[in-house]
Parts: sequence; C-alpha cells; structure tokens
Amino acid sequence: MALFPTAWTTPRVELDNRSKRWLTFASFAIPILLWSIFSYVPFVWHPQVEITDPGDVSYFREGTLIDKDIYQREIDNLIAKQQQNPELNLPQGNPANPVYLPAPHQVLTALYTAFKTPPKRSNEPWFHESLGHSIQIIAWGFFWSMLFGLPLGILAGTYDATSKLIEPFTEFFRYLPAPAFGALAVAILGIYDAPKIAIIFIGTFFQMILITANTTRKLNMAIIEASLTLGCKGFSLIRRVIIPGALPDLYRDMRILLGWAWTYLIVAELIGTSSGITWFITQQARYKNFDNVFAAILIIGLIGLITDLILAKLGKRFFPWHNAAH
Amino acid sequence: MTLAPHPLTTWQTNAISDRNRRILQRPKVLEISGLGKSFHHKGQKNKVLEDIEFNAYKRELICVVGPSGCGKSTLARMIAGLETIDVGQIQVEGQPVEGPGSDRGMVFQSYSLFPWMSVKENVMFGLTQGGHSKNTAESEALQWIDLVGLEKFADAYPHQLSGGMKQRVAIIRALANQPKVLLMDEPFAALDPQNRLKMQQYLLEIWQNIDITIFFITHDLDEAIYLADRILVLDANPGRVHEIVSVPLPRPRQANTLLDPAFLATKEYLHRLVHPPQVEVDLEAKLSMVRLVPVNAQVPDIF
Ligand SMILES: Nc1ncnc2c1ncn2[C@@H]1O[C@H](COP(=O)(O)OP(=O)(O)OP(=O)(O)O)[C@@H](O)[C@H]1O
Ligand SMILES: [Mg+2]
Repeated sequence: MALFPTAWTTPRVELDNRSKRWLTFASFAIPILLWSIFSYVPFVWHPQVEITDPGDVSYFREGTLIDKDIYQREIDNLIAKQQQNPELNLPQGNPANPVYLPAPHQVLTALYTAFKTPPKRSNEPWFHESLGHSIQIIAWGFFWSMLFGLPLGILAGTYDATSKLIEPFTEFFRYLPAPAFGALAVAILGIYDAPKIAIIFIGTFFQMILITANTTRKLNMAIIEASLTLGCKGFSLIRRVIIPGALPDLYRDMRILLGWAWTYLIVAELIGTSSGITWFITQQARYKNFDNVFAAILIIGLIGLITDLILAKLGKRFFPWHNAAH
Repeated sequence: MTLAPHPLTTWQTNAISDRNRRILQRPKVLEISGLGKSFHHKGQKNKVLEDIEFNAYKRELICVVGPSGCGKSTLARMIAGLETIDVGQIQVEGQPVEGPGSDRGMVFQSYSLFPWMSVKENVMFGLTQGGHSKNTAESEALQWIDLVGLEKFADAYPHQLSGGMKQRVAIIRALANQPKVLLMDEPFAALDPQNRLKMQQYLLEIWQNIDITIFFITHDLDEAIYLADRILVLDANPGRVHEIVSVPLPRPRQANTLLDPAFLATKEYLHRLVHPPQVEVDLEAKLSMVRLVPVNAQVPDIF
C-alpha cells in the first residue's frame, strides 16, 4: 500500500478531480491548521501571559500581556512577601501569544468589523474607501502600462528592427527598482495619486514590454507565413493575425503581471501622503490592532485570488479554441 | 541530346504525347531561371539549390520529387516569396517574385489554419484581405466549403476537425483567393493512405474544374505519378534539376491507374532516379561491434 496514490508521485500527470479538490483544500487547510495550533493549544509557544486578575502587583492591569518570565518573577516576589503579609493576593493569568499574532477567530471577526468601524477622525477614510482607493491606483497604473506596453511589446515581437530598438534599453531599465523612483516621482508629480500610479507603471511597464514581445515571438511562424501567402501584410498582418493569435497567451501574461502590480502597491502607497490599504495597515499597526492588520492583508490576498480566478474563467470563455488546439 | 530512347517513351501513346506537347504550347505561368540558394550556418555555406531552370504551363499539375534535404521545400518557399532569392529569377505570369503575394497560394503539411477562426472565417480570410466585402466573401467561402463537403463544419474551429478535414480547409482557403499558382508542400504526408487517396481525388477533381497551376511537392512516388502531368526530379547536394519526366498516363486518372503497367514502369524508373543503388553497409559486422545490445539467452534467435 503506497502512502499516496501513484498519480501524486508521477511527474506531470494530471490528477483525478477528487485528488485535485483534496489537495486544493489542503493547501489552505494546512497553514490555517498550523496557525490554529499556535493560537489555541496553550502549551505550543504562548510566550506571554494575559492578566485576568492583577492581584497585588501594582503595574498589572486586567487584559495586559506580560512576558512569562516577568510574570513568574512577580509571583515569586509576592510569595516571598506573603510570609510577612498574608493579605496579599497573587495575580491570575492565561498563557497568551504576543499581540502581533492574533488568533484566527479574532482575524475573522476583524474581517467583518473593519468594514463597520468608523475611522478615528472624521476626515479619514473608511476601510472600504481605503481599499477602493488602492484598487483605483492599481487599475490606473496597470491601464497606462497596458496602453503603452502592449503595443510596444507586440511591435518588438513582430519586427526584428523594433525589437533591437526597444528591447536593449527596456532590458536595462527593468533592473532599476521601481521604489527607487519614489522621491523623483513625488518631486515631479506631487504628493497625491499621480506618483503612486507612476510607481505601479514603472514596476510593470518594462516587464510588460519584454514579456509581450517574447509571447508575440512565440506565435507559430507557419501561421504568419500562411497569412503572408494569402496576401496579408503590414499593419493588417498585426491586426488580423499576430494580435488574435497571441492574444490568449498575452491575456495570461497580463494576469501574472497584475499580480506584480499588487506587490508594488504597498511601496507606491507609502510615497507622498500615505494612502489606501497601506495607510490603513500602518495606522492599525500603530494602534496595535493587529487583527485588523491581518484582516487587511488577507483581503488583499482574497482580492488578488478572486480577480485571477475570474480572469481565468473569462479567458476560457474568450478563447475556447486555445489549448484545445494543441 | 540523349541518343538512346528514353525508357518511358514506349509507354507514351500517341494521345498522351500529343497532350503533353499541347501542354508545352500553353502560356507559361511559372518561369524559374538560373535559380540558386545557399544557407549560411556558423560561417559555413550550404548550397541548397543551384542553377534551377524550369517552366510550368497554364493549368499544369507539376509534382516535385527528390531525396530528403534536396531543397524541395526551399524551392516552393522561394516561389511563394517566403525565402529570398540569391541568384536567378522566378516569374509568375511575367511578374518577378519579390515577396509573398496572393497570386501564389500555399498549402503546408502542418495545415497552418488560424485556430481562432471558424472554418468559414478561415476561408474568408484571403477574400476579405483582397478587398471583397464581408457578404460576398461569406457566400463565396460557403460555396467552397460546400464543394469539399464540409458545410456542417462551417462554424467549427480547426481543433474540432480531423487531419483530412483540416487539409481540405487549408486547400480551399488558398484556392478561394484565386491564385495563379498553388504551391503544396507534402500536404497529405500526415494522412493515412485511405484519406490520402481520397484527398488526391479531391484535388484532381478541383484542379480539372478551375484555372490553376499546381506545384506539388511529395515524397510519395505513387502520389507524384498519380497526380502529375510532369514530374520535376531534383538531385541533392546541391539541389539541381535531374530530369523532368512526362507521365505516360491518360487523363482523367482512375483509381486503378495505380496498377497500370505504365504506372509501374514510371514508378520503377523514378525510384532508380530518386534512390540510386546504395553501397551495401555491412550491418552484421557493425552489429557485432555493438556489444551493448544484450541478446536474450532464452530467445537466442528470432527465426
Ligand atoms: N532556414 C534554413 N537555414 C539553414 N538551412 C536550411 C534552412 N532551411 C533549409 N535548410 C537546409 O536546406 C536544405 C534543404 O532543405 P529543404 O527543407 O528544402 O529540403 P526538402 O527537400 O524539403 O527535404 P524534405 O524532403 O526532408 O522535406 C537542408 O539541408 C536544410 O538543412
Ligand atoms: Mg520539405
């Protein structure tokens, strides 16, 4: 009896649907399980004590978190003092994790309450407004990237001349870290949204040219030659053959690049006046509301995952001939 | 001039040689003169074609045979304008070839249909490209699709078709454009024998009914003889014209043409041209050197 079904250990063999569902479930269940173990099993980690009754330790307050060894020292002190003064009460407490590791149920609650809690000051945005602002920054940055990156990439992938003209510089520029342009972007574009959009743009634009060019180049030459012999050339060739032929793969590239855009978001939002989800996260961290911090991070992940799933489904609908063709 | 009579002349009946003579009096559609081509690889020059002289006449069906690597595909691609010409010239109806154009259609072995277009859209492609309106292109495309019996698949995508069906679409896609020359590079090589014969019959049927000159490359001598008026036999390294053989068979060709004595004699003759007798390799001696091959002790001999 093998430990796993053989399909699990055979390279590049497609799994049956049951195994697929199981493993997908496990891929989320395992990290959540680990997190739960650390949070709920009292003798796993739990380096601190949450005070339930301060007793006669002057600086203990109900609900505060104290390092285990300090807590033990105070108890030892009190026991020593009890010899003279038996009136003294010992403090009480439960093992607890540091404030920066909230338990799953706390984060789950925060996922809901974060949307319901009004901001501390009336001029500050609600959580959903911060989120909306972040999505707007990404959308604009990615839009400008696509507007210029896709045509340049397709041109570079079609003609050797444009490739030689565009790609060497792009290849150089893509190694410059986008965040390095933060100060410059603020100096040129001000402190509001424009420099943030610019950072997303810089982070994705150059990669997009190169990836688009490569994908376009991979289009089967025989298809291009067939269209040449049918009298198609020049711009018509790009419009009728190269773009539709490469489109499904370009679409997949855009999905991957959109993921990159999110990684640049956090840096972009710290530039100028902090804004969006990053502002929310730093703000909540300052108030030590780490459940909200986790909730915000989870929401970013969920938005990313859900958009990608939707785009993948849409892709299957847009390009029914793709993959089946091979 | 050769003094000894050509071994195939005995099969050229009066009617056949008469027809062949009349073919050569038709206007020239394709003129290839002094054509040469080399490829460069790592500083080495690989001469692929040398001094090709050949003319094809209106509505002629030419087949090209020759050893593998002799430059058949290269020749077809040069006619199509997909490869540059080093020396010499190719003319189609008097116009020198300078690049790909819709006057020369091409059908590839790999079909090369546009996978994102339905069958109908594939066939319409060249027509709309040539300036026809969508409506006329569509009705014309549907007629072509009807002709090859694919009307049920007009809206299907290429990946839903069998190999033979794909190749039929590729052929009508090229023909719908009304090229003067149709270049075909081993178009049926990937099909099973039965489908191949059916496709050959289709091709002959279509060719008889429209004004087209076909330049058909193949490895299969049966196919070449069955289809061709004349067969262009190429030599390898470098590719030169070895001989142009007039096929001594009447038209229309029948399915039993393949058993005709004239057919068999032509095949025999071509076979010796394309595959000259090889120096016998002493396989036994070489095998005895390969001690890596273990002989199964339980089955020491397969006879
Ligand atoms: N793009 C290329 N670059 C370099 N060499 C090439 C190129 N295309 C073809 N060749 C060479 O030219 C020669 C002829 O090739 P070609 O494909 O025309 O032969 P062929 O007669 O069609 O062969 P086959 O019967 O196997 O299809 C070969 O030696 C090949 O290596
Ligand atoms: Mg070839």
